[in-house]
Amino acid sequence: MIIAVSGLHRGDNPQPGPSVIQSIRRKFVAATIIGLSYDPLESGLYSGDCDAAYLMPYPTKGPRALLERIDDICQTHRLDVIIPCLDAEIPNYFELTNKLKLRKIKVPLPTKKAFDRRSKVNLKKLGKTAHVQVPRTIVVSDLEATYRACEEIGYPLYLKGRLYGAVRITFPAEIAPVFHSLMSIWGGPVIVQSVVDGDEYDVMGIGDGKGKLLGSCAIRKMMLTGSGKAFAGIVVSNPDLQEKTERIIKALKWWGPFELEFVGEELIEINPRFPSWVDFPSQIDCNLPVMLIQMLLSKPLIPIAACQPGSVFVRHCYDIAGDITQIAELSNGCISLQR
Amino acid sequence: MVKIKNVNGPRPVHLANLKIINDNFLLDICSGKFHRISESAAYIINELKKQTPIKTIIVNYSQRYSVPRTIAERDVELFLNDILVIQ
Repeated sequence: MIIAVSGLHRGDNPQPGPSVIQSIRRKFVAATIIGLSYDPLESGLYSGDCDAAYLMPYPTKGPRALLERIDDICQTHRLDVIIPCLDAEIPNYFELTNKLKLRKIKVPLPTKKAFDRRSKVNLKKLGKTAHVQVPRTIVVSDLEATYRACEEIGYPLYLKGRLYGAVRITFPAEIAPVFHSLMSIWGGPVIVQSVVDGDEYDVMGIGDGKGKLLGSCAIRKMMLTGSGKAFAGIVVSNPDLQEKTERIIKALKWWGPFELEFVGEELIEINPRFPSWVDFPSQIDCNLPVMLIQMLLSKPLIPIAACQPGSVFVRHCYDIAGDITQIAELSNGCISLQR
Repeated sequence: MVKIKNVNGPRPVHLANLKIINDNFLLDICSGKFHRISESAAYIINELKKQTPIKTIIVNYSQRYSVPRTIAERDVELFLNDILVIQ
């Protein structure tokens, strides 16, 4: 089995790829894992997780460039599964659904409708449908409207990019540079959202596409990085959080991996992929990446038990030694790696 | 039903969600918050979880910690005032 995984960089803002790979290897030891990389300095390329890696065109190059690259890769590594771990990649994979099906390459994707409904732009509307509170949100496309929205919502607030990025704004002079930065990186619209106080909770899981949850794990973030990512967490058994998650997944009829982010009682964001902490529950008998592979290969699913409350994770980083020839090789397009 | 307020701020929690570890560490499995607590606090919470009547807790507390009944009553009731909302 040959599985390609993207989003390989760990750091202050860790991407899910290495965690997904580690989870898969806990069950499929002999699987060949191909890293799909956007930068030769992505840390997951040097950690021994991948058997080979390929440099990919940026998502902004569009689906045709992506397909050409996938076809290149398949000349050497005949891919069975591609697991995109970055939100920005998913629209291109939607465009390629039929073409990848013809090539017998499986990609875990929700429906386009569900994907759009959970976007930051539409989250408030989804919250109303599912009776889940979402912070006050105004979607804007120009600077004038942004100023008005900020006055309406009141400071402090967050300006968020369409796909990524959230900058806390405390007074009007901060608005213009942040707005322009978000627009130039991600394009419009920009989301103006009120600040919510409270503890941060994340719920990751897999939906069955019919409105049900196949497995999930909920944590409270105990420690955050400078960019607000979980660096330590503790499993919780929170009926209210569980019910909200089930209502959201039911409303979306979500298929595949997801992560819901809550602050206090309010839903902040829905990510259409596994989070960077996905390997933590894999170590306590809740291996959702393996379940995803089994779903994609139409294998029978073994029910997953609830994670034990009180289980904790703490992230640790270490230095990986390498050589400049590895970077040089990957900058040419591909590299074979030693596990 | 006995709830506890102030263990996690203003939101009450159910005793059933509280897990005591090593007699000096309290985890609320619902919120994921945890606290260091005294052994005597752990004892009272454990008794509350077993639904032991307050009067019995006072008697047992008095014997366990070799304190006069009046001191035990004060200690237990002060502790309950701080953390308990009984409904």
